[in-house]
Amino acid sequence: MSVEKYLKPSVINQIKRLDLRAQFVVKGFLHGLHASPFHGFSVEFSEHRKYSHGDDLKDIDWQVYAKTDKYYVKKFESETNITGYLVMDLSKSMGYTYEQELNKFDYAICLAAALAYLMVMQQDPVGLITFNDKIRQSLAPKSKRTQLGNLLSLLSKLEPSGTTDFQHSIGQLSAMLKTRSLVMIFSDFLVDEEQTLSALYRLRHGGHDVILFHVLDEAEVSFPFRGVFNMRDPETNEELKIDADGYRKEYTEQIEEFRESLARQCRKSGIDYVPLDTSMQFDRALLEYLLTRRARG
Amino acid sequence: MTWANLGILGLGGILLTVPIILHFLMRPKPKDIVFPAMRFLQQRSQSTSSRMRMRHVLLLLMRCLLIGLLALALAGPSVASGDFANWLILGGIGTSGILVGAILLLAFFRKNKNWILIGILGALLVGHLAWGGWAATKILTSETAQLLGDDQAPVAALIVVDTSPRMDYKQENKSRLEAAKEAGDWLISQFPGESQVCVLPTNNDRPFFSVDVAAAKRRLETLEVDFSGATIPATLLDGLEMLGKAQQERKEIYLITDLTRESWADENPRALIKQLEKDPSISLFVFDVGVEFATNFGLTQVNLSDAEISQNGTLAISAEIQRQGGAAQRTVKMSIEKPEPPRPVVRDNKSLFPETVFDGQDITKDIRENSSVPLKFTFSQPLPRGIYHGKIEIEGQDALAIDDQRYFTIRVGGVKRTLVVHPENVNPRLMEALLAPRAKVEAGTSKYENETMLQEKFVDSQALNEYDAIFLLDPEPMGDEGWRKLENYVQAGGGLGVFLGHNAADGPLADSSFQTQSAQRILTGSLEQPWFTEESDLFLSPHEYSHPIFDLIRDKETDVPWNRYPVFTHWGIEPDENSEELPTQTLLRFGNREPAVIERNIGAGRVIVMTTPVTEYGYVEDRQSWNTLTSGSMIPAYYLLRGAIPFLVQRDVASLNIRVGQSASFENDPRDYPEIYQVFSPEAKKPPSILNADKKLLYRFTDYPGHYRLKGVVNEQVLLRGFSANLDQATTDLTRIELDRLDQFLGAERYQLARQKNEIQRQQGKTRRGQEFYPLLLMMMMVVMAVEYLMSNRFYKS
Repeated sequence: MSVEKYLKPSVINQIKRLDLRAQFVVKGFLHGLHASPFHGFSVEFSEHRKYSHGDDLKDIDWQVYAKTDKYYVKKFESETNITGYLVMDLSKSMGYTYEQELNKFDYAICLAAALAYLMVMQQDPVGLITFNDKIRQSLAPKSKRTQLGNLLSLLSKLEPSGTTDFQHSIGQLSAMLKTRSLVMIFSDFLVDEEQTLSALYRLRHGGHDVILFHVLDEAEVSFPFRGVFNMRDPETNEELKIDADGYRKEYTEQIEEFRESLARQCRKSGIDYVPLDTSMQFDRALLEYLLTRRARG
Repeated sequence: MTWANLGILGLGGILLTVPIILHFLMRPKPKDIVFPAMRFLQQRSQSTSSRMRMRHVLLLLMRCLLIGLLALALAGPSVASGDFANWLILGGIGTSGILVGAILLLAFFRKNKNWILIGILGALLVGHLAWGGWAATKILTSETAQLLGDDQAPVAALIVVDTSPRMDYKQENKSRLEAAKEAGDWLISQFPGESQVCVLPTNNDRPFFSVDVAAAKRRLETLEVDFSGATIPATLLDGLEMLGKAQQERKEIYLITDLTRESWADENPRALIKQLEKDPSISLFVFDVGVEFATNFGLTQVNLSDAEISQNGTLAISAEIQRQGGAAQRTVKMSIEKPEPPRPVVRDNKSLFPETVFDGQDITKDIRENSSVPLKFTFSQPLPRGIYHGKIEIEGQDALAIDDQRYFTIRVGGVKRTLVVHPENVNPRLMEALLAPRAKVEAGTSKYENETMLQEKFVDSQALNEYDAIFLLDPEPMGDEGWRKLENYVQAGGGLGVFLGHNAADGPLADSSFQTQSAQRILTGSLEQPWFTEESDLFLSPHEYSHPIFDLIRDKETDVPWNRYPVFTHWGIEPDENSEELPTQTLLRFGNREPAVIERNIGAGRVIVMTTPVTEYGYVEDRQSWNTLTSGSMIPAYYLLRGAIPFLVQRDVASLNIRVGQSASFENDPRDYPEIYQVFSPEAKKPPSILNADKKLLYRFTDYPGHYRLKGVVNEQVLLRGFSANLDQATTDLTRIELDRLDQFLGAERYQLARQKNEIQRQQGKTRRGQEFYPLLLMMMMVVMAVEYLMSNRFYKS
């Protein structure tokens, strides 16, 4: 239970080092899984095999060695490798939060880091791509342990800026991916829905598995504002004066409809859609990844 | 439409601007925030902001409406016409009902039904429907609608002000009449312009509408306490007759009274209630200025042992002091004025009366709560001949001072001469003893000098005029000459008492000499036959005690044992009571309704005829006794004769002490008395009036209690006469009328009773102004408040 608390964004915010954040999130998540119907999932080892040269020393089960005086390594149930891409939306809107501990970007990074940790732990190659109006950084997927360090180091340096051109950026990404991959996109998708979907369809047509982590700020979902506000779009700098009370119902209906529409469209084209907001625990995202991973495996 | 507090309406108008200012000028400054998901706001921005504006305007409207309704309710609007008021109420209920119904529908068709709210709204709607139905019924059955109309339309108002002496009762240093004047003045200022106002005091004045409102106020201001004794019902009847002729459609009556029982006494309620029923549109208000628990000292009527005494005579004066309220001690003073020629005189437009008195007497008495104590004064100083005025007076303060004095007048004169005439077979000893008791004759204090004569001698007697009164006891038949002589004697001013008995009989019938025209003129009618009864069941049976012969009986009527003194035989006479020349009245009857004592006026004198004798002293030889009136202690006969003697001898002495409102009548032989008098009223400010007297002196205008002094000159000598007038004891009875009794006069639901100005204002408003809308406006406010609450809750749901 004590480890599970790290699934909460408010708790994880107290840990400044991203590697530790990822580690805690994953450990918390796995600890929770033991007691869940997902016990014996693909992340669990299924048997021991004798150590052979070249195996990672970290895989040696020292408890078995202590008992038998022989080297055994843990053998995982699924040995199939999936190439994963963590695709981060870098746009300025991702740096927004109203009253949460983590803004959308921090939440997405935390989640991405945890996923990277999990993938590397399963020896899946994982890469990182960031974009706003175009692809800004990319890190080729690798399954080595060092990849995790590189990936986290890059993630921790990211700053949200600029506007989003989702269609262009995902178009670029589609062109970049040569092998069938698992593309995990972290974005608020506050762009034109049609363009977003057409870009995603294109990616899906390329044979890739796509998981959309739709990260919104809690305020963007529940619209907790009371009174009159002069609202400004951080990307376009457009302004709108509203009486929040009168808009709440309309807005929440709109955002709900938007999320449902995205989910519907994604379901049609075999894309996994994970709606998130910054007040939610991280396990929802991790579980979604594992479900996809199993379907692929 | 009128407004109770018009100022509030202006204040309400100013307050109405508050929500508007708040809405338009004091809008909150928007907070600047970053919000990435703005495109979702922008998509519906146009429609949402217009809807929001609409909601704000609606809320603003509701809040303005709320303040408006509050101001309206506090301003106290009302309309004149009952019908118009009912239409307005119906309109208000309708509007409010539609609002409630609309919200009920909204609440009912909402996804999340709030059944409590629906229940409340449903109940409200049912209430509205019921109220609306009531208002509609009132409109359909309205009878007075056509009679009200515009509130500012002039009214015809009758203000009846009780000016009885009881209104002189002072409380908080203000008499009831002053309080009534204040109320009347206030009422008059409430009337719309062009109104016709009649101020009508209860003093028998003719009712009339004042020229204008100011004149009505002036008339009201001049009202004074009046002693004429007119009652409110009688005054109101007079006023109603005049009010009926007024042109104005709206008519109102205000009775300003202390609601004492006496103001309504001796009146038949039917006459008034019938008159009131004729025009049910007349609004009737009773303004009570009386005192619930009054306290008072008062003196009862004065009883004098004799109104005329001899120069050496003794006067006994008795009365009672009465107390209404808690026990107290009071001193009562008796005084008799000393004549002070040339007073009464007029100096500086004011009458001056004698101020010095003979040695008075004081009596101090403790009076228990709500009781009375008898008082008795005696006065025995020798006085010269003349008229003397005196009074008894309670000293110290009293709320109702008017009954603290009682006035009396006595005449001190020479000895009167009387003649008792009797046949030989009749013993005159009783009459002799009553007229001139031996002891008083010897002491020189007897009022009468009596002579007794046999009837046979009397017939030849010539000098009858030297006698003041003649008493004919059980006369024998006598010729017409005798009867004519007696008539002449009475005509000249003499007093004659005839006591018929067995001597008038001729066998079973009356002797024919008692049936002649001359005899009938004296005996008041034809003597028929004696009426016999063998049973002891016929008695004197008096019903009315107002005549002076009952002076001694009047106050002890229940103590006189009439039925212990049976009458067996009496003469039957049919008195001619319709004769204009010879006014006749039966003063006392037997139990069988046959006349017992009859009075007849002939010229300046008077005759008293008694149809049974007063000379049957118990046992009578040879025949059956006619009655037992003069046997035993003979109380009835004693009192009766003691009353009849002065009535016949002194004649006009009864007028020396009269009640206010009665006429005083005295003989006035021009040879001895003046033909012109100055009459000085007890009111010193009132100038003396001139009174012409012929053979009779008659003064009718006894408006005030007190001494009335008559001054004239005869044979170059100033001659003073006079009399006293007192208030009737009941006049100052402060007992309040029961509301049930009041209802009998005015009709239970016909009038509205008020004690305070605001009550009458409210009631007057209710009647004159038709209807007020305070409850309706409050109800509408509640509905608007509820709507505003629901709307703001719904619009700003978190």
